[in-house]
Order: sequence, then structure tokens, then C-alpha cells
Amino acid sequence: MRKYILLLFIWITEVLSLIPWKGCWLFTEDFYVSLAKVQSEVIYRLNTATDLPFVLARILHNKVFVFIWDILQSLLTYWDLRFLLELIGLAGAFGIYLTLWYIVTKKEKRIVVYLFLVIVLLFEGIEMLLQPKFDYHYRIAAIGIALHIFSLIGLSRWLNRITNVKLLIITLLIILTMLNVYLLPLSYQLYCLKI
Amino acid sequence: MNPTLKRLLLLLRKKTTLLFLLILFIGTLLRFISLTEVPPSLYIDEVAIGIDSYDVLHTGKDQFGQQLPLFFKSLGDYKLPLYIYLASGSMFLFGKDEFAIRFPSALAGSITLVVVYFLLYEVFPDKRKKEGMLIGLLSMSTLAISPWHLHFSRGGFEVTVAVLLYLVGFLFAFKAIRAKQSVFLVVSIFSFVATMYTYQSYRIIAPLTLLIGSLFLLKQKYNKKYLLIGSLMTLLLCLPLLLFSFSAEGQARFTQTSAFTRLYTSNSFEHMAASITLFVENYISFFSLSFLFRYGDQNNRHQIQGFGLLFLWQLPFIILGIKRLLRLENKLKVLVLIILGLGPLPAALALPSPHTLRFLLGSVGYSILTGIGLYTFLLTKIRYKKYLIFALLICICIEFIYYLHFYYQMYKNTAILDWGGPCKTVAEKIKIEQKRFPLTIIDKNLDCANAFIFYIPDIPLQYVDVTWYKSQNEKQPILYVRPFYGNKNPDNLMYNIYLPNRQRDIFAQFYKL
Repeated sequence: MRKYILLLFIWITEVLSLIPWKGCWLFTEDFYVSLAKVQSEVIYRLNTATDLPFVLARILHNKVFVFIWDILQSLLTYWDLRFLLELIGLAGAFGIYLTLWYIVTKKEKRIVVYLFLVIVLLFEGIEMLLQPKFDYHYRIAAIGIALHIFSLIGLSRWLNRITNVKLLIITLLIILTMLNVYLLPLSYQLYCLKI
Repeated sequence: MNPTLKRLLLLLRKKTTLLFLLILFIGTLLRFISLTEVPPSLYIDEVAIGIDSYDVLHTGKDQFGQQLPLFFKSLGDYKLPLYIYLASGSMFLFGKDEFAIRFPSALAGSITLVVVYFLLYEVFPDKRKKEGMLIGLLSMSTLAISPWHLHFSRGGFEVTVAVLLYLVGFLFAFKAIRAKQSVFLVVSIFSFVATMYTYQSYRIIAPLTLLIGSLFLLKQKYNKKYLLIGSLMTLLLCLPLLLFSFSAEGQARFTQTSAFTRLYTSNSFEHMAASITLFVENYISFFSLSFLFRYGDQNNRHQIQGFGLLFLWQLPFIILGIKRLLRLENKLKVLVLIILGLGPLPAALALPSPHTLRFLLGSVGYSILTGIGLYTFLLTKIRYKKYLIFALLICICIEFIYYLHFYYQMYKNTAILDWGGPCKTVAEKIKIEQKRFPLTIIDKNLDCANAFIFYIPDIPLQYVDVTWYKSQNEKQPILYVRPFYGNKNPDNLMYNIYLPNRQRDIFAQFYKL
């Protein structure tokens, strides 16, 4: 029972962290990959590589290379600790990394966990590459809720045996998340464009 | 085991010395090649170090006339002494130039590679030294090409020397535990204390490390008499620093950069709560993926734009390294935990956060984790391993070559203004022109005043505001140097000094009045 009460508290902090994001209308540029962005980056690089013969510069700075690079970098941004801290709170971010840890160490074998990982990646991929036309708030809510579930999976497993240390850690994380929401309410603006 | 892999591991074991020397050679070469040209110019702190080092070498006094100071008055704060005295030594050897200012840092960066190898060799017990050697070699090679460590080794940054001394402190502490010899403990304490006289952050990191180290040694049932003598010695060596830290001058740097002075809260309780939250947020930011793999701290002087501090290929091996570390020696766990856990502590108290320079120790921590990860990967049985190793080598080569191209060819063009602009070129031109002009007037907005003190200390220069104009009564010819304000070909223009970009932007204009 204690475990579910704790998970409920954590989920509440995750929702409270997500609420301020309704004031945004888009993520910042770092979260997106587009051909126009890639093209301007290539032009900038070619203009800077003044010491190189043009052919060599083209080999090093081309759209394919920059595109792949950009996708990898943008994908990392969605799993960035600081971004997750702002989007779903410190306890939520802790949960995300716990779930990933269980997957990496092969302790988590349930198919549903992998399914949620795919869903999260899918939502992020769609946002990153396609920027769908429907309202941004639904898109952010979709990513947020998928991350909530993903983090609660890891936390739920971690809290199977509640020790005093774990209880202390979770309580601290919940308190810090609440303090972050109420005392530093504008930090999320690092990652989104405000209305 | 796959025969190719077996051969690779055998090669690593048999040719350790050769590989060690090869990695050291490559690492040193990368740190010293074109040292005066990349980074492109001396930035303001390097210039300040250069001026003080030169003055100390020739007069025994700093630029403010203080005899062999322990703390150097600088621009708005006080500099710690060790790097300045080291730079004095290199100026004695190489003369007054950029190379001499950057030499201690580049040398410290190269020696750090050696120390990392021996540190990892030391933490493993006698029966498993081979494992230590292999992990040492892999970590050393990762650090040798690490963009983060390479970048700071090539500038006149005190922190590179501090990182070296800090690791030397650890090396001798572990030696002291193994050999139970007090002389190693003394060297270790000296090294840790020396870091406190080298870089500001270590005024917090080093005492905390010494405290944790003492507790660790007590747990290991180390001779209490030695520990007591060690503590007294530390206190004695730190006394001048302690006294300085409590003075207004000593606190100047903290006041300037503190993260908590700019919080807008209504009462002291709220301020305390917000400070704690901000500290946690700042601390966490040092482990953010964007910081490590994408942007760094976004200061162009601290990394290449668009490049992270670590290579992307390192990420899976860092995760693998963490996983493996949990099952390795306690000493290694303590080492990595202290390096990565304590490293960001002082930096999290300050703004901006995260900060690449203040957490340079992280480059060593992540290199060790990558080394452990690579070692684990080489030992693990998986299908198609030969092809995976081949793919990995391709990825490493592509990312590294890409980085080298960005650093050695593009960075000097993209970051010239972050490194103070082409002030050296302007200074050289003034030196040539001063034979024709008895008076040289400089517009204050050119922002090269310190560089001129370093490059052309003997030429009298007069600094004026942007509104200055030559008086009718003034008959002698004047050399007037100002930044570019928009007019490419004004009257009396002698020539422009250009930035090295394709657009050929103008940095400064020389007028004959």
C-alpha cells in the first residue's frame, strides 16, 4: 500500500511539473531537425572552412552527415536530465533513468516496458522530425504522459522493497520537485518558446 | 573467444609499454602542435597571467608592485599563484610569448595521461594488475583524444595543472595505502594542497577529498599517528589560504560568481529554500546529456560550437562502464565517485552553471568510465563481435577526424572574438607604425588594452573615448586606432585589420591624423 501512495505522490509532482508548459507554443530549436536547418548549418560551415579546398570541405560538411549528426543530438536532448527535470520533475526524471537502467542491465524483461519505450521514442521522433499540425499542447501532453508512465514503471520496481534510505530519497525528490515548481517556476522556459 | 579478439587482447597485454608510449606521444602531439595559433589569440586571463609572470621573472614583483605575492591582484579579483610562477619558469625558457603562457597547461595535460594510467594500475590488487593495465591504457587513450581535456590543455588555464596535481594526490594516497609508507602520504597531501593554490574550485574540492580520504584511511586501519601528522601538515600549509579566504579579497571571486545573490524571494526562508533547489538544479545540470554531448556550457572559449565535451561513441561505453564499475574494486569506485561527485560541487554554487572549465575533472572521470566500458565490451562474448569492433573503430575515427578538422582548422576562425580578437596583429602593426608616429591614440572600445601591455609594454599609448577628435592646435602626426564603426573607407584611413572569416569583417582601423 505504501508503495502505491508514494507512486501517487510522485505522479502528482510529475503532473504539477507539466502544468506550466501549457504556457508554451513550441519546444526550442534544439528539439527539431529540419532540412532548412541542416542546409543553413552546411552553408555556415562551408563559409567558415576557409583554409580547406572546396572539394574537401564538401566531403566533410554535407547534408547527409549534418542530418545524421543533428538527429542523434536532438534525440539526446529529449532524454536530457535537465529537460526531464523541468518536464516531469526530479522524481520523474529519476524514474526515467531507473527504467532505462533496468532495461540496460536486462533486469526488466516485461514486453510492456519495451513497448512504452517504443511509444516514447515514437512520440519524440514524430515531434522531432515531423512537427505535426495539431495543437502543441496535445503533443506535449502525449510526450509528458508517456514519460510519466515510463518513469513510474522503474520507480514501481525500485519501490518493491521500501527501505528507510529509499523512503528518504523519494521524499527528498518529491520535496525538491515541489520547491522547483513553486520557487523557480520559470526554468522550463529554457526548453520552450513562450506564448 | 574470437581469435581476432584474442590476438587484440594479447597485443594489448604484450606490447603495453609500446602502446603506452604511442598513446603518450599522440596525446602530447595533440596538445602541443600549433599551440600558438590554436586557440587563435590570448584571452584576457592568459594576458593577465603573462603580464604577471613576466614581471615576476624580471623584477620579482607583480604588475602592481607587490614583492613575490602569494595571491596576485588581477582584474576584479585575485589570482592564485601556482600557475603564474610556473608560467614565469616557462618564460625563462622560451621567452615572452603565447607558447610560454600555455606551456605549463599543455605539459600538465600530457603528464595527466601518464598519471591516469598509473592511477588505474595502482587501484587494482597485485593479482589483477593486468586488468588495471588494460583499463589504464584504454582510459589513457580516451583521455588523450578527449575534446574536453584537449581543449583546456591547449589554453593557459590553471585548471589543467590543478587536475594533474589532484590526480597525483590520489596516486600517492593509494600508494601510501598499499605500501604503508608515510613519504607517499606526505607527497599526496602536498599535491592536494597545491591544487588549492592553483585553481579556485579546488579550495572546496581538495579539503573535502582530504576529509573523505582520512575517513577512508581510518577505516583501512591506517596508522593514526601518520594521519594526525598529515592533518597538522595540511592545516599548516593551508593557513595562508584560509586567512586569505576569510578576507574581503579572498571572497571577491565567490561574491562575483555566486548563484544565490540574484534570487528574487520575499523572505529569508524562501531564499534558503530557493537556494537549495537552485543548487540541486545546478549540480544536476553537470550530468545533463546536452551539456556533455551537445553544447557544453555554450561558451565558445570553452569548447567548439556544435560539439559536445565527450564523443557520442563514448555514451554506450560510459553506461557499460558504470554497470561494470559496481562490481570492481572499492578503491576504483571511490575514485570515480569522488571525481564525478565532488567535481561539480563548487561549480554548482556559482553561475553560469553548468560550467565546462570548473568541472574539467569530469573529463578524467568519464574517460575512466569509457575505459572500463571498452574493456568490458572487449571481454564480453557477443555474436558478430569482430564486425562490431570494426564499426566502433570507424565511428571513433570519423568523430575524431571531424573534431580535429573543427578544432585545428575552423576554430581559429570561428572563435577569434571569444579569444580576445586579433589584438596581437594590431599590436604588431602599432609597433611598426610607431617609428613614424610620435603619438598613438587608441579608442577604448577596441578592448585590447591588456594585450597591448603584454605585447608592446614600452610603447606609450593614449586611450580615448569614441567621441575623441584631433584638436586644431595639435600639429604632430597621430596614429589613431579604433574598432570598425561602419564606414569601410573613411578619410585618413591607412588600412583595416580583418577577421579571418570568409566575409572578411573588419576588426580595427588605422588612421593617420
